[in-house]
Amino acid sequence: MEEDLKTSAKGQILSIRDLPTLPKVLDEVSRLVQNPNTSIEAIAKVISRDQVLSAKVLKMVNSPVYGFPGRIGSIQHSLVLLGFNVIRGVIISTSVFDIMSKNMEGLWEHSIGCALATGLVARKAKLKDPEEFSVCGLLHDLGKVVAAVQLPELHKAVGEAVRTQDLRWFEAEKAVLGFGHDRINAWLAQHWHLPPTIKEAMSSHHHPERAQFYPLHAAAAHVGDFVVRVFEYGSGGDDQVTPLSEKALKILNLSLADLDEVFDGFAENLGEVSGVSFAPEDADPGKGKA
Amino acid sequence: MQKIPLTLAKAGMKLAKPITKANGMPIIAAGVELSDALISRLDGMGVDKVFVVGDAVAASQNPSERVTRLDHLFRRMGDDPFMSKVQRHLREYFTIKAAADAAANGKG
Amino acid sequence: MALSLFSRQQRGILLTPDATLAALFKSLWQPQVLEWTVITHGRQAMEIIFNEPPDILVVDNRLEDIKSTEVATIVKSENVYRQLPVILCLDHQDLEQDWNWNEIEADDFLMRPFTEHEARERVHLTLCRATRAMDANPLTKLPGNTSIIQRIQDLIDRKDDFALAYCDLDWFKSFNDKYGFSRGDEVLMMSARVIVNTIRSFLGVRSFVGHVGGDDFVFIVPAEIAEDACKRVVEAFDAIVPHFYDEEDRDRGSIISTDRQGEVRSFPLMAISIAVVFNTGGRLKHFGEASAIAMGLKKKAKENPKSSYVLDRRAE
Repeated sequence: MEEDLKTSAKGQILSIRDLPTLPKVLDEVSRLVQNPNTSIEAIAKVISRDQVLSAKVLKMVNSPVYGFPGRIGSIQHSLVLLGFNVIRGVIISTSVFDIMSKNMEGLWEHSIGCALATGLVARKAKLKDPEEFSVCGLLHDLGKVVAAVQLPELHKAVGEAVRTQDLRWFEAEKAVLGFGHDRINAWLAQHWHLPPTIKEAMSSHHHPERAQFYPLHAAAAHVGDFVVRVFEYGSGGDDQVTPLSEKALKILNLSLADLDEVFDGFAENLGEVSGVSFAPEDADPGKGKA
Repeated sequence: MQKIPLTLAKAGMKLAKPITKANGMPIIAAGVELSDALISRLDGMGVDKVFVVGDAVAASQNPSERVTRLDHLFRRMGDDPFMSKVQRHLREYFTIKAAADAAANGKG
Repeated sequence: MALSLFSRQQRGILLTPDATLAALFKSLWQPQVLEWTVITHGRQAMEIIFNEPPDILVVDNRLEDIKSTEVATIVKSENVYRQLPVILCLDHQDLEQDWNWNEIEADDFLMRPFTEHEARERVHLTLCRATRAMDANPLTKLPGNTSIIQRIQDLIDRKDDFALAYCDLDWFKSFNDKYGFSRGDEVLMMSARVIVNTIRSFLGVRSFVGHVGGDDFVFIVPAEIAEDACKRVVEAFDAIVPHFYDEEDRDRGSIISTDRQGEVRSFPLMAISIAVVFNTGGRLKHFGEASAIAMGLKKKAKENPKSSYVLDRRAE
């Protein structure tokens, strides 16, 4: 049974009711997908009804992160080439773009960078369906946004702790909230019925050795997070590297030298990837930029 | 020079390329410094990307910059032997890349 | 016997909550010959399996936190670990329903009550048989020729009613020549995805997709959906492939490239040709028959310069 998440600060909870609403089409599509008679065409039709969303999804999937840059001409094609799990992840990510950009500067760039890096790690490790791994990287910090929106005071306190005590964001979260965004991620993934692979990556990327059933996904997202921090593209809330888990590399069967190719690919594709973002939907010429 | 979405533009950044109308006619010249007012004007005009001087992607992609940042990024890793090894490896990786870049630019 | 079967110490992982089973396995081999690590819960077993891959994995269906079939699927779905042999331990009542052995890629199973002799010999047999070729295609990660042949022969032996479809790309060489191997690889990756995800969209259906090499693919589906599958694959391929061409070529619907004689000429956009062989009523006896029939059909399919499929009408 789903419950609200209680933080260690009295009275401050993360409530299910206040979670960002996902696009309506996602609900409908998730139901469709469970029916064995549903065609890709039918799914595409439903998603395409939300034209604004579809345009964003197409922009995302045509970036170098997803294996077929510039080749995907329609939602239907994206489903055929990337599969539903990936498209669902992209839909979720684009729908929280606004909230992310407004509430935690640099987090969107960090997430896209992590998607790129995690996909590169998966490719180097010769894993199947690397785009699913990319989505793990894309969504790995969703929990931070949820906390920022629902508990702005505590969010501020976390930032303070990072600044004054030189903590990593994850450490500061644990000090202030009593748990890290990995816990929030697990809760989120449960509520949004995300596939177990993505859920595992979201909840275990800081401790991939604790992954229960999908250590490859957790390990890849962990290494992806490390890579994007080395390059300081965007921000996960602090300017430190995460401790790189030797075990994670072992599980992926990668050596440090193998990572060089990942670094190469990351630097090369950063320019393209940085173009992926969306004009604010409620642009008000009078307001200016904060 | 870096192409960024308008949403990430901040006052103080300088335009690296002019803003032009669809037919190519420049309406705001290169070199102009962005202000909040100008940014919201651009937003109202439907501009969604601008080329600005310097910045984030460039810094990420610049290997010399990466080398100098390593100590700062790894500052709390202390004596951990594995992380020291990782840091050394990264230093070597970026140093070689920086040298390769310098050589290529020297010839260009 | 065991000593002479293996050239080095073998390591096995036994996933079971059943202490008796664990004790049995440990008693059957000296640790220097075959050493068993017993794990009682699926949780975290995956990490151990991937971290230090054993030579053999035995999974008890009595695991409380995850189904044995799910464990097998997770392990086999990563080609890097595909060759790890998996044995399931089942109870009699588990076999009351049909098991889809095409979906559950276990290599063998043991039934309770376990007899010492059977357990020992089956484990040995599985270990010896486990030189499954690491034949995943490096580009698409799909199973390669050895696995394909094995699968087809398997289905024939079981007298399964299946359709075997051979696909290849027309005009692929000219595309490669003009646009280079890198883009050619993109097209191959795209073709693999088109086939896999189109077949996958027939939920709940047993299927198999393989990559023979180059631009040759194979898929296996139940006979009843074969034609529909071909239609969908052709449709999806035709809709997507133009995007892999430059705008000019895409608009013109053709490219200028050199043919095998070195002559410059115009080539159409790539098309996919599919030849489908049916095995209904156990008519095929050997994989070789299937591929011979397919080659004949393929010629026919390729007579059509556009994407097309040809079904083996003799099956009706």
